[in-house]
Amino acid sequence: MKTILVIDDEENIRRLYRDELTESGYSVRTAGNAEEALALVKEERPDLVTLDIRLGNGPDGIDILRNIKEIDNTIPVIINTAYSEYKQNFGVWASEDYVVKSSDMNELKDRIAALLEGRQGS
Amino acid sequence: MTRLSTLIGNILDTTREASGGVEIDTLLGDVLSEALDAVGWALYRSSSPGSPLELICSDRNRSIPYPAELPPAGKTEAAVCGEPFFLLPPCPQDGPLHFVFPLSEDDLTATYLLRYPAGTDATPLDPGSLQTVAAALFGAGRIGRMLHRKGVHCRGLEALSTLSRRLSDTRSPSAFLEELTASLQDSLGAAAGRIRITHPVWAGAGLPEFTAFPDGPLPPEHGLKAFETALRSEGESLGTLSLWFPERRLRGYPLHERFLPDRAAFLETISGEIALRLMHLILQLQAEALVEERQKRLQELWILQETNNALRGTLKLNRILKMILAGATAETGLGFNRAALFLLNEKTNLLQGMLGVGPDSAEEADRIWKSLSSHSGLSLARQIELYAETQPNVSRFDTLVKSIRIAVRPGGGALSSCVRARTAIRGGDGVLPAPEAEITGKLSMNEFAATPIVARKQVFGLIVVDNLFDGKRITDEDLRLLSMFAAQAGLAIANAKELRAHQRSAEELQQARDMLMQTERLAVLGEIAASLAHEIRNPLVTIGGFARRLEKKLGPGDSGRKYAGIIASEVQRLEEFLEEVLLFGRDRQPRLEPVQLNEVIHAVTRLLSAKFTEESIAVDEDLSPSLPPVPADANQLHQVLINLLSNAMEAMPGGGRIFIRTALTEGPPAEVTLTVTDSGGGVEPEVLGNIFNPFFTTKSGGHGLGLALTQRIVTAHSGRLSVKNHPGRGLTLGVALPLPLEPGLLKNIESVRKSGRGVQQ
Repeated sequence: MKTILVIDDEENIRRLYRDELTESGYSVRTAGNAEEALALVKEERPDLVTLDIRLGNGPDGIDILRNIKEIDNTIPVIINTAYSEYKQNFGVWASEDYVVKSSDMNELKDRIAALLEGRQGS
Repeated sequence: MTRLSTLIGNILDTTREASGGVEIDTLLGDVLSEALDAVGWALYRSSSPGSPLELICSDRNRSIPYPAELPPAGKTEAAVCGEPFFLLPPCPQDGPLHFVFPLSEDDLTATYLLRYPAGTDATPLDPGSLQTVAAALFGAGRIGRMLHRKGVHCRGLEALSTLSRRLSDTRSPSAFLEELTASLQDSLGAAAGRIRITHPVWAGAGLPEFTAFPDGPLPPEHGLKAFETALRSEGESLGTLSLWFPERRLRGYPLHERFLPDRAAFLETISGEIALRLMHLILQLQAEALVEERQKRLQELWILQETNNALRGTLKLNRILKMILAGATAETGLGFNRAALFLLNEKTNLLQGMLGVGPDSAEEADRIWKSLSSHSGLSLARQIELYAETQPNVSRFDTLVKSIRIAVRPGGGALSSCVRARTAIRGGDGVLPAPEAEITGKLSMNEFAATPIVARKQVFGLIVVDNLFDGKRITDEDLRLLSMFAAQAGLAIANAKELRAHQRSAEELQQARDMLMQTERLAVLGEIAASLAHEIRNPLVTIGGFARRLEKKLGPGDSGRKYAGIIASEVQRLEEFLEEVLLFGRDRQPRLEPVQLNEVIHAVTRLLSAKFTEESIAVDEDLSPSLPPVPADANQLHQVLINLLSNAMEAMPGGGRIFIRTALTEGPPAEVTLTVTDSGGGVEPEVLGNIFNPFFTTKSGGHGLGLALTQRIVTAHSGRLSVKNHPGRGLTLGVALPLPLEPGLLKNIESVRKSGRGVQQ
């Protein structure tokens, strides 16, 4: 079973994603801040990370992305944020994909599936 | 005795008649032949004492040789002085009797010879009586001569006073000549004459150097006695007077000759009087010319001032052009029939017909200006203004003028050379170079004047005028005034153009300011929208997400499932709305994409290459070949580069070098840098701090936004704009654009770009 790490500072989002993604057949880990997130990445090496960019007062998602890639450049990261403008921040170019948050999670789930399949195939 | 008294009575009568103007010699001849019953008679004369006797007249023009028996000519006077008359012995051939008696005066010695048939005792008078007759004749001759001379003098004085009066009444050269020739003919009886007046004023009055009477070629001089004198007044030579008098011959006697000394003196007097009158007239003409000149100058000044007044009233170029032509054609202005204005397009070097003012017919011209000048007391300035306001540009002439383009080039036509030489010309038949075909053909301007409109050393165009309808000749004076007028027009045009340029740059400034404000407003709106969206979007995702979950969990029969579905779809509607709001705000932000800086530089330098050549600017490049793509809005980066290069060019108005360099800084932070260095000498240290301030500029034509906008763009790219001043050498402007990751981590850029999702909407 593939493990997905959901990084978001909002608890309700984490809960929603955990429920939805678990139901879709993934093992889901969640983190609400950078420390938790990076610790989980180091310890568990998830198969995929969904990453919010604005995380309360802590370092922002782009820094976390950079840190994740420094830990393991092979873990695919999907930026998942309420902002579509971060697409223009070239910091996100280190990520594999970018999905704007929506209550309709089908797009996110499609991308996750596609990335995991691609990884499996490669 | 009766006969003698009758004879003497006749002689006296004759004398009286002679004083009435008949030449005494004629009558004396008659008396001698008729009263004395002489067969023949002859008069001899010696013009001066001691000179030979010459026959001056005889009966029936039959010449009687002076008898050899008579005392030699040189001794006549002596001979006759001793004896008043004497009888000659009869000649052997035909045997006539000759009586010879002298008539002598101061200026004349004449000898009368009477001839009687030989062999007949025809002597009518005894010697004593003959002596008496001779004495009477002698006395009568003297009296008659005196009377005659007196008459001549009186007539001369009369002629002189008439001449003087008639000449002093004249006010113009032509009237003077007319009166002079009439007087010379009427009073002096001159058959022909020629007056040559050489004074420059005379030529200035447009009169011929010679006037001759009668009209046409002068009669052949044969048979005329010429008199010629210089006309002088107060030592100044005014000209010459030549007169010819008829040689009225009566019985072969050239009458005038006897009076020539008198007449010559009289004619000198007459010519002196003529010279005096002429001098008066010349002085009068000079005075009039001075007054006229002064009036003309005043009029010119007035026209120029009035035109200036009118032109000062407006700064609108079209209106100015119209007023210029109105001034050129106004009756009280320059008064040309038609005027056309051409403006020079500096880029294409074409003279472009802008405006033609001129009626299509003489009647129309009259009507227009009459209607304008009918407003009594209207100044020229006001007339010109009125014209510009009221006259529509619908004339055929104007349409024709507007259709004309004339190339200004070496070897061009008259107008082309007028612009090139910057001098006014008067064109007509035979002028070199020939006028352009458009001018003679389309506009039918055959006799015209053209003057360039020059102001501040720049040629703006030219004015062409003509007098098609009244055919008035265009004088040097007209040309001079037209040139002055054009100079004034040039200033008005230059002012209007300058104002227009100022207005344009003010408008651009305002636009730039508006744009900035708009951009800022939108940026603020975008930021508000974005932060709102962020705050709302997360809860919406939660609400909607859980509503969808609920909808899935509840069974088909459960009424709650329907409600959850409603919540989910409403949330989705809200999310879509938020997306639209965000799109609006984001629109003003740079659209970043991986951009190869070197490619942008190539594109821009290619774009500006013509400009570089034109401004004599050499461009050196040192572009790093290993430059990774930078996140940038290609269009905005393009703009940044244009601004930097324009700034450098403006710092080197006389040409110079631009050095463009790109480099990669591995970092951290990793950056791509671009520097543009000019050789324009740098800027003052106190200016340096201001160069990025909006609206700060040291250039006359700029609005100071170039570098300020550059800085905004660079900042929007999270980059830095820097400046390095090298006083006396140049200025370096640098742009540093950050790379998102160390160059080694940029492996995904291409895939992100290609995915079409990462960057593009």
